[in-house]
Amino acid sequence: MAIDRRAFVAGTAAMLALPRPLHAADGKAFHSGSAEFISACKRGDGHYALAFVTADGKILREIPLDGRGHDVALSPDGTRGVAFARRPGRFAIAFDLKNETPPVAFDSPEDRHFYGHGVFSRDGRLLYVTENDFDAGRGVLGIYDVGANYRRIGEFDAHGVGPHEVILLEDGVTLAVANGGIDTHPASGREKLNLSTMQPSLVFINSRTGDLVTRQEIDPALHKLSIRHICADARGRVWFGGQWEDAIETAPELVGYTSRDKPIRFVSSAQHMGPALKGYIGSVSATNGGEIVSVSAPRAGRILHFDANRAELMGEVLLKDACGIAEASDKTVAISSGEGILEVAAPGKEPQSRISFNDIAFDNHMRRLRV
Amino acid sequence: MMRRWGFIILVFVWSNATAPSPSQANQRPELAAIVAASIDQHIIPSYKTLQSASEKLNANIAAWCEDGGGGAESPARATVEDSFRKSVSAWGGVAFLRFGPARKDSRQQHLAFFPDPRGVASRQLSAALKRKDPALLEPGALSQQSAAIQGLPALEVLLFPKGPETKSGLDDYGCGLAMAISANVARLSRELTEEWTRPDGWRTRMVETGPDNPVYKSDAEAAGELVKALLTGLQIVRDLGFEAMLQAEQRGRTRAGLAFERSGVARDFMLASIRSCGALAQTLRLGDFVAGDSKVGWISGWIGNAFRSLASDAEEMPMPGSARPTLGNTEGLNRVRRGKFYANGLRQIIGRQIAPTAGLTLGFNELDGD
Repeated sequence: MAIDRRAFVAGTAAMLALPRPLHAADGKAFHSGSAEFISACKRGDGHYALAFVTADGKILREIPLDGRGHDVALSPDGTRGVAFARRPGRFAIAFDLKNETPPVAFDSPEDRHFYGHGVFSRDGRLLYVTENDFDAGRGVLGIYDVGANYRRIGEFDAHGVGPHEVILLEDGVTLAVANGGIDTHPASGREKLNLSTMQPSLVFINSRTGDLVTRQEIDPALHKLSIRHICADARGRVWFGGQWEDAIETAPELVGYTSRDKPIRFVSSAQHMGPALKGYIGSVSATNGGEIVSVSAPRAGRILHFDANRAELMGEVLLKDACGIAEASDKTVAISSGEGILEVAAPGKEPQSRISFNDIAFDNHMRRLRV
Repeated sequence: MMRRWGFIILVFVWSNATAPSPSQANQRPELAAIVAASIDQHIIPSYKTLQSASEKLNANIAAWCEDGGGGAESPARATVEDSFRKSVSAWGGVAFLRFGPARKDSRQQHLAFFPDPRGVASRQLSAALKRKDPALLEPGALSQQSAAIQGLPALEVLLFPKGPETKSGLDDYGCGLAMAISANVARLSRELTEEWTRPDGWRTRMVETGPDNPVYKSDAEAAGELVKALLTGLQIVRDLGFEAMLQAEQRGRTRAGLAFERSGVARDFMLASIRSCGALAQTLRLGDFVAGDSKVGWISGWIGNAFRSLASDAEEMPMPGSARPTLGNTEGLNRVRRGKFYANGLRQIIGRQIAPTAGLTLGFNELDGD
């Protein structure tokens, strides 16, 4: 009897998702915290997984993935999460954060692939996932029914090419979508097909109707700045980090903000930062209750913290290949790296803890589960 | 079997990804020296080869068109085909160097809009040939148009509208377009060479690193850029070469979608890419970083053998043709599988073993951003 691939993946995931003996990581926690985080990762033997870790160095749980993962969406009630494949993967795995029910594996339709991000509706009943309708070269938001084992029930136009991160705004209705503008096709791997004509945008979409509320675009002269990662600050403004698709030395400022009724503005600094950040922001996260926006530049090994109200740089951390950022507590931020480091610090202050996990390369994004 | 080898090598590589032994540290090449050698001995000569080949192609197209732009019977067309093939080979030697001057103003895409899974180049060229807009043929006009009709793949569509066997002639407008495209390719190639070699060009930028350098603050960053380019080249060879062949075989397709498959010179492109990657690995002296290590010293010799195996398989494997099957027989299939295995193995060993040993920054999150 043939084994259904999804059933196999879910079964294996269920088996391996059981709590494992706690691993002590290398390094020393200066302050023993109990914050828990989740991140896609690559393990030492080459397999990909989701790792549930603590700031003081324990691996609480691990769920194997079919390939390289990207981000995790957490339900508003904190009971479940969904991890997505990295572009151009098609797999997703939903899991119970209390580990009381087995994981559910599901795929995008054959003519769509995931971009690695998604978000739950306010009531937790629907999941919106950024996808590529690759034959048409069109971005969409796949809509999945959570209660029906993540059955795909429809899609909205993303109103742009290459939708990457999607978030739900404070009103519980409006979705903000970072349309990176880069066209890709799985037949061509991860190759970018339209760099000279790309048109990134940040769009606001009504999650009930799919209607476009507003589209914010950047100056056409900067059309090669792919808007990819976003978060909302305490004032409801949407911050973004971009990826420059031209020569590094010509990279513009990479971080900015906008809202439904205000055009895009870039955070300017005394020293032009685009080239220094190597033209690439890997993740963007609101911390300290949305008063601080932190962005990572893994190619430059830098994490920048911005005062969201004043839109000013307030501090930075140097950490090689650092990318994942998550609020660790009201006053502290956790940073993860491709070298297995998990560091917790108040922005601009010395780290409270710095742990090195053996044989783990943390992927781009990290989410906090609880403190 | 191949999968098991891959697994064994990967586990072996990971488990040995530790700091170099003291004896090995003494033998490490200087990063500044290997960067300079790679640029002077391989990269700049490769760009000069592209410039020379593309200028010759442009001249030969002009001569062919002056001769009437005839089809298969025209000797001038045969000359054009030969110079097209040489230009494609020369492009294969630098196509994976996607940084610096190639990244600026999307030159890389303008020179070769590939991959093109939706056939944009073909569609846009058909439309241009139908419209016959004289303004498009004005000097410099093409550079303002879509990347899809600017470079070598566009020229390929013009010269081989339905495949390698179709050697139709071109009318006056088609000839004008072929001259405009080849002139554009020559211009781009010239710009690339100039931007690498001028006094304040990219060579200087990569060799004279430091805090005031806007791109490369250290020799490790410059060397890391070259190693990343090499890994990109191997990824292209694996994904758009061998893997594309396997996919075509599995799906029973006549065409595999390789670069320059339409003109029948896909093998030239692939071979040039593999050989150029191998030459870059050599000028980077990658093997020397691990040669003195008793545990992983074998890698030093393995790299050269792997590149030779890759080239041999690319040279001998059956190529997509007008009729299925693409791979023909077990030997053909084995060559393609082995090619994919070695391309992947080289990537893993260079990225995971040698780069960390050499102290190069190739992070998990920074290599291929998302």
